[in-house]
Amino acid sequence: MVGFKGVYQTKFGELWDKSLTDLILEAGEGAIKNAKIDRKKIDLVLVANMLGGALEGQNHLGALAGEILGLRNVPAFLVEAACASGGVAINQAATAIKAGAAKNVLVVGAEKMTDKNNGEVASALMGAASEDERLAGLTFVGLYALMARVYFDRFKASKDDLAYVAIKNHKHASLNPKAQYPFAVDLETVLKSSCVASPLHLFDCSPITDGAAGVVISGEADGKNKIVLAASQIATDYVNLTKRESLVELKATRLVSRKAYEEARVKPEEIDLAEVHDCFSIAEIMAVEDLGFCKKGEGFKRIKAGDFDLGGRLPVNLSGGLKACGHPVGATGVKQVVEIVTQLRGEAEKRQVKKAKIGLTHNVGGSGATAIVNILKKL
Amino acid sequence: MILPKKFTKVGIIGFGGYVPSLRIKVGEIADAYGKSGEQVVESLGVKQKAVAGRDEDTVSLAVAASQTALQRAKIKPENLGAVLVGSESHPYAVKPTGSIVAEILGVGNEYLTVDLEFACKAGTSAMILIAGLIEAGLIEAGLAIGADVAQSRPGDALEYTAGAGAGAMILGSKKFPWLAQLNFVSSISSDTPDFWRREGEQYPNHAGRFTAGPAYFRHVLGSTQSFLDKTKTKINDYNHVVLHMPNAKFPQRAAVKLGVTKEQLNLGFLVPEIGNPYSAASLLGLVNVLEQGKKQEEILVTSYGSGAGSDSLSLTLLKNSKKNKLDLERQLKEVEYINYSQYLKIGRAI
Amino acid sequence: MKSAIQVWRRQKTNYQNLGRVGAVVSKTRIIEAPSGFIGPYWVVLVQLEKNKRVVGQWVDEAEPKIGMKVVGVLRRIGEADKAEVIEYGVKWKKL
Repeated sequence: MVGFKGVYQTKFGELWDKSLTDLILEAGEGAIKNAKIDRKKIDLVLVANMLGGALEGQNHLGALAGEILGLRNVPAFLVEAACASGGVAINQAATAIKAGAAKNVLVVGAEKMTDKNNGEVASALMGAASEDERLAGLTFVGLYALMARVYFDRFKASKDDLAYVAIKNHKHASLNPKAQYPFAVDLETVLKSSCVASPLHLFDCSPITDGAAGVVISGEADGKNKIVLAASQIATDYVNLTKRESLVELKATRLVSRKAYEEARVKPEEIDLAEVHDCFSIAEIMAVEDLGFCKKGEGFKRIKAGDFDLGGRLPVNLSGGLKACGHPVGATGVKQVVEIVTQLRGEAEKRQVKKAKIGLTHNVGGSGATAIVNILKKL
Repeated sequence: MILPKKFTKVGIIGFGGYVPSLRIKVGEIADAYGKSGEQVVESLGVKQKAVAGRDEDTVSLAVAASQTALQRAKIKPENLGAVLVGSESHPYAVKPTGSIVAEILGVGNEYLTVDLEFACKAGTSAMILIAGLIEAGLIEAGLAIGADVAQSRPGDALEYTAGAGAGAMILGSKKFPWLAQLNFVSSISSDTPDFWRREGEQYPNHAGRFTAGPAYFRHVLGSTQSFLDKTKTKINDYNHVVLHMPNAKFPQRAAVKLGVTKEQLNLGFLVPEIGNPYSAASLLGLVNVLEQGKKQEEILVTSYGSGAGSDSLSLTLLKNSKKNKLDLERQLKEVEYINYSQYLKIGRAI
Repeated sequence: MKSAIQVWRRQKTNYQNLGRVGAVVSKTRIIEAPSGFIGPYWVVLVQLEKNKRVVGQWVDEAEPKIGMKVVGVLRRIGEADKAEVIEYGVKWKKL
């Protein structure tokens, strides 16, 4: 039984006075405090991060986290799977516990992205793609834009249909004080926003964000109201978009969600709430389809209809998602778990889902080369 | 002196031209500097010029022209024993364009290359050197290219005509079917500072009106006359005459002085439509003659390179091109116009 | 700065689609370019033959259209710094 003892998220945003190590420190300390655990009991530290090396020349983040958090001589190392680093780190923590290699694992996902200009960050992020895609002058916005256009043709959707993802996620973020953009936006604002890579505009894109999140995951028997990891599955697909079978789905998501539902012994209909990987609006649309929350090609209609709003049949991205809460790449997967745990504990205040028992997180690397699904249950 | 020795073993086995599809009207440029477009067009005889895209350079232009030449020649790139690229805009001061072009074309490693520069005549000089290697029996086929993305200082008069393009000539021995036969070549040179660009400088400088009499006319007329004398031919013996075209007026005036008629000048006279693509200018004129001329017609080419010198060559066309294979003609028609700010953004001046 | 050696190694694959013909499957106009590139430009996803697709920059001024037949041409890749070796590769234009 792998359970969540402590969770913490820093504020996400342009945190000018916080360095990467400041963020790791805050999230780590926060999770340890929330877990009410003696830090000497932590016997493994996993750090999730993608750009520390590329943007500031800082690697070796596992040992560094151990140093700054006063965790003497603890086993520690980096887990990296591009934007899926956080979700995968959670998975690896559980694996270590199930293998008997650790009892209390601290997972910290952290990313510092605002020290460099947009062009440099976009270029560094393309490290999650393939060389051909970099040589073509693509960005991640461009890669998802290529998928969006095919999706529009196939399912008769239009650029304007994408707007409802941002509207929903901002509405949720307005209830989350930790979000980068804790305010609602209206349709006109979204539709008027400038083009980034056609057909995706500014409000279709998650922002550049600094932030960190931490969890303490434990294999030790604990008190009541246990929140457990009922399933954690990873799948990969071709890194290069041109090699994928279909341009309107993330096969890795489809495959991994089946494996996760099987492991957790739940059906998609039984999921009470989810944090999905909305790096771009089209990504959320494909995610709710690929995760089995609705039929392929229906996602944009169901989002527009309110199925996935707070109060709807399956609230998605109550944190505000990547779009409105922010997307500090390595931290996102961990933050998603923090949000679900918070919800299952009943501590989500204004954005609380009533009677939440089963939550799902969906974290993707690159344009779909890695997908990790974690399913959490309240016992 | 280059001797009037008739080539016996050298023919043109493939040829191709490439002109970028963007055009800017002379009037667009004139407007930016408060000049009258009409007056400039009137004085230069040029109405527009070709503009290379931001991601085009001498290498990419040379490759495009060479691909057409290779298709016409129906030879394997590995048959080429030498690749010579003449240009005044080689991408590197040190690292030969020829080796990059040859690598991309798949020539392999067994070939001779060295870069050439002599302002606008380096392309024809490449042809002469390749012809010599073939006649001597050292190579069976060789690729001579003149290619340029012509540089000019914004606001300078040269800006109206400094264009871009590439011409590629594959010459070969009797082993291959000839599309044209090379007859005679000749060349004259002198140290004449009409137009120059120092190492490290982005834009060239020129000596204004001095570029006419003592430079262009002295060498074009001198080389042509010397060529006719040595080969004991008359200007009327040639059906087509290609003269270097820095603008429309210079070659037209030279034609009058040489007794060249409008009809003789016509097929090679591309400058009003594309401007001056420097090392490619004479070669593109020749490409158009080879494409549209008729069997058994005689061709005379006199190029001009500032600094200064002129090459003269004579050829006999042996094969008509098929109507659907008029590649350069199609390129001259399928064009797109840009304005001055687009032009500056492309040209790496902004 | 781009590694000259990596550019050299990529010569083996950068030119393989030169002259090849395909059809446009998807397209996007990149407004915000990554460093090393200057926008805006179109990028197209081209179907070459069954099971083989490529992405590449578009070279024509006119917009690419889905289904358009296209051919691969040689161009510079990215903006070469004055100190760098220039990289060449295949971009796409209307056939």
